[in-house]
Amino acid sequence: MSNITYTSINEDVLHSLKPPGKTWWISLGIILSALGLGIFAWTYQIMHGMEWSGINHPIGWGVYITDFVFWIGIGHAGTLISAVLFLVRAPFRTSIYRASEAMTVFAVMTAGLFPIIHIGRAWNFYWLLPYPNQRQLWINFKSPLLWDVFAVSTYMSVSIAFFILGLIPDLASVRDGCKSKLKRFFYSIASVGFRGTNHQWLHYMRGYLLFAAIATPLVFSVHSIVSWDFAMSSIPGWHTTIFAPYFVAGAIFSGCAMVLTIMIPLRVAFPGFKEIIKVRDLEGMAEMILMTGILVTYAYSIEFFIAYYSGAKFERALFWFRPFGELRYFFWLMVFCNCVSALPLWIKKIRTNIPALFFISILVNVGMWLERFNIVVTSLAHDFDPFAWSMYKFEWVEIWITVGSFGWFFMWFFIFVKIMPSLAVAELKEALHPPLRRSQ
Amino acid sequence: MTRNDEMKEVLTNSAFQLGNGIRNLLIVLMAIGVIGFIVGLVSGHSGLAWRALLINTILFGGISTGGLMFSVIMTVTEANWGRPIKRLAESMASFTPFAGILFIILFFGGHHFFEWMDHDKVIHSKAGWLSYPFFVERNVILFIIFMILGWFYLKASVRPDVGLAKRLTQFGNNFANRFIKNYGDQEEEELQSIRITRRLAPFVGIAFALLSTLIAFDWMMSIDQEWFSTMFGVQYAIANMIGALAMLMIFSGFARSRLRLEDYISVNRYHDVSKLGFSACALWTYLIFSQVLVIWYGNLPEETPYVILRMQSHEWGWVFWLIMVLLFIIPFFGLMSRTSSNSVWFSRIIAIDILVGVWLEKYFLIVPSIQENLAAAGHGAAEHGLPGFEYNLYDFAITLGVLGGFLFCALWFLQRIPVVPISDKRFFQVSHH
Repeated sequence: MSNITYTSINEDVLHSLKPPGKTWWISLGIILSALGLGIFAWTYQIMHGMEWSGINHPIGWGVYITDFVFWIGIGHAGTLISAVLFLVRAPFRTSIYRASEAMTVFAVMTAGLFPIIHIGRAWNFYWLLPYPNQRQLWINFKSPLLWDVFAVSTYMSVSIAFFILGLIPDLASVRDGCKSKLKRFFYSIASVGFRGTNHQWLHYMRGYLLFAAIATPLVFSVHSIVSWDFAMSSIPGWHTTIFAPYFVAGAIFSGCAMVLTIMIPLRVAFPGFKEIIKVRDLEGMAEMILMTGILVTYAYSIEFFIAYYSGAKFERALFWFRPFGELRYFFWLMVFCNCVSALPLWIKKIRTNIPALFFISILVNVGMWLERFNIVVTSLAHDFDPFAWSMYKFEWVEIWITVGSFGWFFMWFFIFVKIMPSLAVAELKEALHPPLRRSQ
Repeated sequence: MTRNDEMKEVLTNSAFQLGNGIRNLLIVLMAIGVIGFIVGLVSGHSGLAWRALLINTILFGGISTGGLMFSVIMTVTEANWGRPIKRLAESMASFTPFAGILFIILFFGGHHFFEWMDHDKVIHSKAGWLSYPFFVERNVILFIIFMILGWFYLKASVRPDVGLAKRLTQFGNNFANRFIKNYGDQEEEELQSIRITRRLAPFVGIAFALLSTLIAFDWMMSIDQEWFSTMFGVQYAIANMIGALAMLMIFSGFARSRLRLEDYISVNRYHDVSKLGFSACALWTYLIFSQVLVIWYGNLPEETPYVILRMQSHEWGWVFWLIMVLLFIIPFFGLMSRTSSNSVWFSRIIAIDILVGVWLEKYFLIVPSIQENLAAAGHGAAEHGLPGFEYNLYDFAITLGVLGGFLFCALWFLQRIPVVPISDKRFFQVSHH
């Protein structure tokens, strides 16, 4: 605990809200150019049609759906860390949960774009929602795609609400530190008049606990339902019962990796954070990655085993195609990134080595993108009838849009760290000894 | 009071003696089981006896591995709260070798369950996996690996406690002495214990997952050789954890009052165990739901018959819902409120309900498939379909027998090893919070 005090936490965190420097503006410039590429590509696709995405017949789901599942997966870690780790009282969550919650919200915002990009005529997106209409046309409630609409929007509402709830006391401390009247006005609205009375804390803590309990099942439900987009069909490689927990484990795997990818640069950018986001906290994330990596490896193996054991011709053919067919490079790269690259984390030296953690987290992110690509594309490329087999060819539009999605995600995150306290001030203080007047 | 004095007091207070009455009762239960099994074998109902033995071996063997897993999870996550009940969980693992022996006995009854042992009936494309010699080999090998890892883990976990107990109170018996051969300096031994358990725990966990999967696939899923579900292994592993947690609720409830451990297994700690049981039941339900939904929606001919027989047939359909009530509705609503899960007697009732539930779940996964195999072979099926849930004396006797054996092993272990991990620094910490 050494030299961390109530004041130093306040100062370090509020310091991050000071007007941005040159590096911040340059980074934001790069991010916005990436976003620009994405917007340009999407516009191009809208003007020239879906042929500019790589999807074809029969591979009707391609990079966009992969991106969708990828970003939803990233959006898992935040709620896991803030709700589940709160309920199990894991100490390493305190310093990282705020930023990961923000990451969740932005990742889900990014994910939400992809179905809209994927449907082509984006302006008709509201057809996804059930609404009373003149011709009594209703969406298909039996379709897992619709369940997804509900699952993702519920998840998004709850994670935003949870995020805001956690922010209230911290926004209040930002408000108290504000000099300009205008800022003070906005922060006092955002902190809904929180003054830190016993009464308010009591209600706040109650509410937080309840919210955590409500958010926990959502961590499971969202990605389960995303997995059912695939598992409900009878396509080989998609239809398997383990998909739901396997996707949840994979989502936590990628989400925790993304937390590291974000927190490590954040620690470098704001020197005061180094003392607060301790190596032990990052190590906790690394351990989560290690464990979920093993779970994901287990699921891969079981899938292969059951494909053999089922004796079903099509399953067997597909699970031969994945490692040995034309798309094998994606498969083996995925196996390397997801099953092998996290293994060095068994060693404590590597688990506590920041550059190594950063590198592994990037590999895991790549691996998890490839996993979704493998699931989505290989199954469609190689289903029942050899006549309908096909190959996937990437188009520049979808690659640019993918790059743009990273721009979109990081743009929000960059804005976030400048206007909101990116570490949970109040909870960090809870872990300290309160300052006593006597000792001063 | 220094730590040593405090530990001395705990040790004397919590010294556990298996009373003659309970010991005799457990021996009688085991005798009932053995007699039931032998009567079954000689009286022409050998199928029923083998079946009951299979169900109970899978159940109680699973619970014993689940108990060890509790301790492993505490070690891996460096959790403090579970330390006072760590030994109670580990005591269940003492049944694992006996479960191994029961599995070896079951190898001789394989033809009562496995249709595929008949060369004419095995599905051709699965014959590679479903061959009996290979079946025996892989089960024996994986079981031995788990046992070796588990033994070294358990030994390292128990050793410094026995050593400390011996130093403090002349604690000792033939069994415990085996753990403290070449015992060195106490500090050194404690560090060594932490080092070994920390290193072994993840591997015990992985071995548990693999063993649970293999047992679930081989001993339960393959009875209906056409059916498969990738989730089946996970379901069994989680059911083991549920069973172990329910046992642990019962054990820690008794340990609190009988062994005067109220200060250590405090209300909060007891609440934590109940909560974990609650969440494990919810997780199990999630796993069942995810399987049923996917199979129902996919509607594939190789997957649905298994589920239709179990959910929609008049012979078995009601059992499914009964299990859902036992393993989901009752624990979910029963343990939801803080008051109820803090209350030892109330949550004990729920723990018993959970144990009945996991027993029935095993019965439900195994028996309908066996009945179907018998019907396909031309005997056992009445005109009106399968026999359905039919209780018989063999189920009753053998369940009592294996339960008796399980409890006997666990209590015998607790009698010879300190009931609380006195040397564990985290245990000492938790008692002061």
